[in-house]
Amino acid sequence: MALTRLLALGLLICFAALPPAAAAPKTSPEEAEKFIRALGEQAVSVLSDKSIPLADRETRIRDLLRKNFDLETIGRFVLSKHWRTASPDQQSDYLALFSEFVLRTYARRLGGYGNEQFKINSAKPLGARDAIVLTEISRQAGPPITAGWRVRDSDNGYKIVDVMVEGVSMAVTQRSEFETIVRNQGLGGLIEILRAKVSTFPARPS
Amino acid sequence: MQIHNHSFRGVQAPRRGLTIALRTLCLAALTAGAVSGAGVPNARADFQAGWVAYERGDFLTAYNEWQPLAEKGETRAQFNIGVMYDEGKGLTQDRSKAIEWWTKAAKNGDAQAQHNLGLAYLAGTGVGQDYAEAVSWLKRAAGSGLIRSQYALGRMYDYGFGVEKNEAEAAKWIRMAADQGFDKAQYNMGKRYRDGIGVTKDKDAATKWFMAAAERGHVRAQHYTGLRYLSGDGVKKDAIAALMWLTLSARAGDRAAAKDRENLVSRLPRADRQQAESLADKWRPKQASAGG
Repeated sequence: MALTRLLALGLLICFAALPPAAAAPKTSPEEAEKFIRALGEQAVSVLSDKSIPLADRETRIRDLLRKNFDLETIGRFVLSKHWRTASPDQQSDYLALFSEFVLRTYARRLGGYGNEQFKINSAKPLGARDAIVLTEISRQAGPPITAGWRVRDSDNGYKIVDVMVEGVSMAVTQRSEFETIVRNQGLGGLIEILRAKVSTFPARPS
Repeated sequence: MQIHNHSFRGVQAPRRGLTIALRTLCLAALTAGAVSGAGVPNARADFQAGWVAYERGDFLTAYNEWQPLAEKGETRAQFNIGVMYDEGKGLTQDRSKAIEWWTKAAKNGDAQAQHNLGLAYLAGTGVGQDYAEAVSWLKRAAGSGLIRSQYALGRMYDYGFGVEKNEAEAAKWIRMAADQGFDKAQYNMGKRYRDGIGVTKDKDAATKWFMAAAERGHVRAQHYTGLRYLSGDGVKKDAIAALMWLTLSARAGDRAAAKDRENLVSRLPRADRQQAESLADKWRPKQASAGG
């Protein structure tokens, strides 16, 4: 149904996104699957230990994500053509803030969660260079969520270069949002918006 | 309100039998905090009990403890409920509700709520983007001494968002945050002195601020500090110190630092390299300020 169509559409978009480097090695789907499985198991062990304070669980998830996401590749892709016209300082500010934004968003939402279950449905090649590992999360209310992890065998080992939720590429979605912001408010506007998003105070004990 | 408080049984993978009991890998995150089940307010609301539950990840209890207090006008409860809505923590994410609660707390004088509200107006999250409103709330929070707000307000002056562009005024606010040990503000002061933005160009002062931020773990500042030890700008030349800082920055993922590090490594004798590595292993960041 609609969900399947969305997934197919997302996969198509994903093909278009993140063009591979010419002589780069192909990513083995089997290895990509092992990589995602290991990452999942590590996330479980962090999230299931409720004796650790929430803020510490979030920090550990954040470190885990930082190690396993290629935030620079994603960040450059998302900024698209504006990356090339940005000054070196803007590039470094943007990359630092974008990474912080991604890690913070995921870690804060994840930190308090637990108990859903996750399975790997398949892993296959994607484009000339990557592999996509399709997973499914079962929920009590509503249909399961399908998510695809686009994995690349990079110089620094296996890294996630995009996430697809219900068939929609996060990188592509973000790129279109950022494009609108840069068009209306300039790159400086985007940088300050990202800075604002990562600089709020969390809940506090007193 | 919906609360996420259920556990699910795993489903067998049809082909590979790869069922992994994963308590949420990213998916909760990506689906914006779906939650279910209504909370019944407890008769006795207790802020501390709410905090203990929150730390455990029991957001239903936290909400039930805080909500009556927030309704009665307790600012810290109002602030925390705003955060729960903003982050979709236990509640379905609803940023306009976050704005409502933060506005109440901010009007009651809560500086962190004023700060979050200012940033929400700046980014247009949960409320229409309004730079002037952002500046007005950030000024109040910065005036109460919040370091992050001083820094954010300085940036507004740099860009002329919601105020007339004024780089000297920007430098004034950012220096306030830098003086209190906020690494991002220190790094920013380093760039201002390097380039003469709102201050007079001064190589030595630039190095001093880059080093201060580097010592607190600012990755880009660590890269610049390494380069300054190499060039001797504002500091005595020291190849081992240069390699230590470039190594720290590279380890933290700065690719440009990694390239500069490789270049330097190829030119240094082995003993120097080992000494720099060992210094990098032992290095610990200076206690960063809480960011206010």
